[in-house]
Amino acid sequence: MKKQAGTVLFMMIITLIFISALSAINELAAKRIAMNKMIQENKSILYAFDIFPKGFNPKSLSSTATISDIPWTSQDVMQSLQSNISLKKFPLTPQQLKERPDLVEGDSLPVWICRDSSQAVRAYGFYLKGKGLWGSMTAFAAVAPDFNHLVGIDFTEQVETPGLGARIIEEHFKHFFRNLNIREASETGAFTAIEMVRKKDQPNTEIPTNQFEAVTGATLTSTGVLHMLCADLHFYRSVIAPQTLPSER
Amino acid sequence: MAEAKLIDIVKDDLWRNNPVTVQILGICSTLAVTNLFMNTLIMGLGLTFVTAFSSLTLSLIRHIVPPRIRMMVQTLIISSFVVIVDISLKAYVPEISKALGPYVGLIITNCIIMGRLEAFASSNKPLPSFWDGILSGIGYSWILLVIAFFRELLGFGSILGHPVMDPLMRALGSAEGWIQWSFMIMAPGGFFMLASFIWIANNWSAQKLTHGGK
Repeated sequence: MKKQAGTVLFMMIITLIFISALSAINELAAKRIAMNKMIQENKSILYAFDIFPKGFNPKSLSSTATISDIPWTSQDVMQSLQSNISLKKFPLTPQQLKERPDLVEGDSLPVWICRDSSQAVRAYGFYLKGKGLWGSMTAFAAVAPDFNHLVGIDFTEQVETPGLGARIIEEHFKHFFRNLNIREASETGAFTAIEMVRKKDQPNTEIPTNQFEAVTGATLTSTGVLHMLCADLHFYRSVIAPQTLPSER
Repeated sequence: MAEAKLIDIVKDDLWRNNPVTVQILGICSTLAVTNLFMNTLIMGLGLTFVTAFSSLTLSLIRHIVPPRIRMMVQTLIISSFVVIVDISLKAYVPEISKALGPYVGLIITNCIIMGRLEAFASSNKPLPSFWDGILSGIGYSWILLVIAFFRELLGFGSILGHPVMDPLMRALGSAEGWIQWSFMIMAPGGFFMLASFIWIANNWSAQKLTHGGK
């Protein structure tokens, strides 16, 4: 009995020591991790709105580049975000609140608005949430005010297979979403409104289409992206369009 | 530490008793992360760190750990070091942490670590245990890196993300450039490469035994 109690006590003490050490390390790194997360999210927002550091040519990004390869400084990210983009919360009806509780903040829908130098709306940006192969994923998408085409997209959270589905964060996948035709998808929400193809030679910035190229070997992740896009764009349009002036669309 | 023993540890962990090719341990991550060289490198470094420091820690407390709960203690030590790796990646290389996703946490389940703790660190002094941990990690990592080199080269035509095969093929006169071997970046490509590597390695060892007269 005494021996068993000693064993339990030993386990409790050693667990306490390790947990204390980990808690201390976590506490020390928490601020840095939170700051990294915020900067990464802001970089995603700027990327989706097609905003890059001064003098940087986005065409110079390699096919495997991610937003970490864009030469932003933390200060420039914050400055650029504050000078170009503002956050607006769109009130929701009880029906809309029930429809997508995962996208809602309180009782309203957060939408980022990018304006040009004449203060006209250049694009709306918002978070999309969907399911990949292994779990949920979150993206930030920017759309033209008339919801006719996508300005850009970046994936902020995903747990897809490294080297396969996780490659949705790379430029070779994301560049097909620039200028992607989303008119039908945002109007109807039908999954067939955007087409996923195996091989696409030209980006939509050259010849606009409703097609994007799937990641090789990650068809289910790419399909998850397609479904997330169609469902969420339709929802955002149904909230934003009735609440904005025709001049803002 | 006796020099002969040190050499034995080096030979065992890197080749004669390699965790991947001989003990067939850590296969899940071998198949999962080896389609990109950089992910493999970070995974290898993470595993080496965890194996080395877990072995050192267990060896330091081996005389006071009650035998009946030794596996619980080993799991606690391993998971603590994995959490440290996870926090460090998130704090200092968030983009790599993002790319590796759930695989960092899965280092806990890598059989190599617990295997070395149980087979070596629980009955050896701290320094040889630490050394064994590092070498087991390196023994695992170098095999993965060789596999990753070929999978990324053939699958994506690149090394560390830099295009290699496409410019090479165009320089050799191919108008199409490099046509990617999609098979190589998918799980079956990992099985194929690993099986080929194990076959070559074991054939080599068998030949040395036969012709060496040992």
